[in-house]
Amino acid sequence: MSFSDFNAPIVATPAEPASLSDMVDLLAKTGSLLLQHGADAGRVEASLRQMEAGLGIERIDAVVMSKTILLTATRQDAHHTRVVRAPIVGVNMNSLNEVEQLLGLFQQGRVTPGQLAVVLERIAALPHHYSRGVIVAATGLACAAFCRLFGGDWAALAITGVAAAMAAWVRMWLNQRRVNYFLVVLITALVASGLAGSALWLSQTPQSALTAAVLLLVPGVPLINASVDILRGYISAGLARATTSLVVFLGIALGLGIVIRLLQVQL
Amino acid sequence: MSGVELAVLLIQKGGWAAVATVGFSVLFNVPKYALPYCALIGALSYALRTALMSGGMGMVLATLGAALLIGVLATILAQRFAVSGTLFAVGPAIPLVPGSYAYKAVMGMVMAANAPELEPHGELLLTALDNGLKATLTILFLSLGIALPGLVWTAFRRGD
Repeated sequence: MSFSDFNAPIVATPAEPASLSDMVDLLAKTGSLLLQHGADAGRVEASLRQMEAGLGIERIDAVVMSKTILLTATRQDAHHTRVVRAPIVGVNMNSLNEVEQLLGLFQQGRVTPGQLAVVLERIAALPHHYSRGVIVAATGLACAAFCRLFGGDWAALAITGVAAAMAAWVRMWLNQRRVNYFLVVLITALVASGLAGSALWLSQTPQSALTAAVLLLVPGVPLINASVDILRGYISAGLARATTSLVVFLGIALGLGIVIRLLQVQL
Repeated sequence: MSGVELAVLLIQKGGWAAVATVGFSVLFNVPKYALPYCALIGALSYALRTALMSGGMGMVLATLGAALLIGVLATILAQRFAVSGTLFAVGPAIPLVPGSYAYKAVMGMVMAANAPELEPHGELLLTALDNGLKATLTILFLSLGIALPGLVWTAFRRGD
């Protein structure tokens, strides 16, 4: 479902935010929606600056870090500052795309600030395109494909697929319970490599299964965002993301390391 | 390797890379209409990296080449669908992320730190360092290559 079609009326006439504090709330909502769903720091700041004219604000200053945005809006001689915490909820390209389309329309003046607030709420509540079962199966399939790319045989491919799918399910379950991210990585890595260890008896290429089954944990988007942030000069955001990724790799290495030590295999 | 063998290898690798790309795109909630394009870009870029590497190029520079291809194709599709290019770039980028190098680097460092003496285990540290360097630079070049075509396009468009 897309909300990009604004020819249809969204609501009759939503109340227009008047005070500077309401405007800053709107900016905070937009910024955290972008940051939460995997936008890099430069993109978040550019999107916020894009809203200046439409909100009738002279100047928006934003400092974007890995999980926090500091923003100050200045209008005539009044200004308002907020600290926005945006806990990472996972990469969601659809939400990022919807917000970006909406901001484009807002900049063209085709959406009022009141409508913007309403649609932002709707985007935040948008369900995932794919059901949990589909996501689990897709993750298993992706890791199975990696196993094949690493030269695994068909038995290793099947084992990797099952192990990674089970691990993806365990990760979802742990994330819902708001377990600490390092523990989530460690437990998921133990599950994935433990199950993939069965390839030692069933496959000629057990190494490929062990290497590929934990790949669902590799923080691909945070890593790419980390180097994009650093390349664009958002050093603190980039370093924070890089450090988090390093800790995630430590968790993967620990989980996999324990399993290969127990099974006495060489990778 | 003969031409036919190389072609078969590239098609195989590209096909499996497409599967991996679609899997991760689903995880990242990429809309359905974009999935076939993601799969195609993923296959082409992974095949390009494999071809460059079998031609003797190292992983770091070969990844830069593949990433530039992702960036160019994603920018073109972004113009066509009037959406952000990252929609088409994120999925295909994942198979190029050197994930196994990165955790092998960390694993090697843990093993080297755990070893009682450096002398017979120095090899561990060297391998870990090599894996770590490859992983870090590959990721840097990957993101640079993906971002560059979009930046050039915007700069060029502002010019006219």
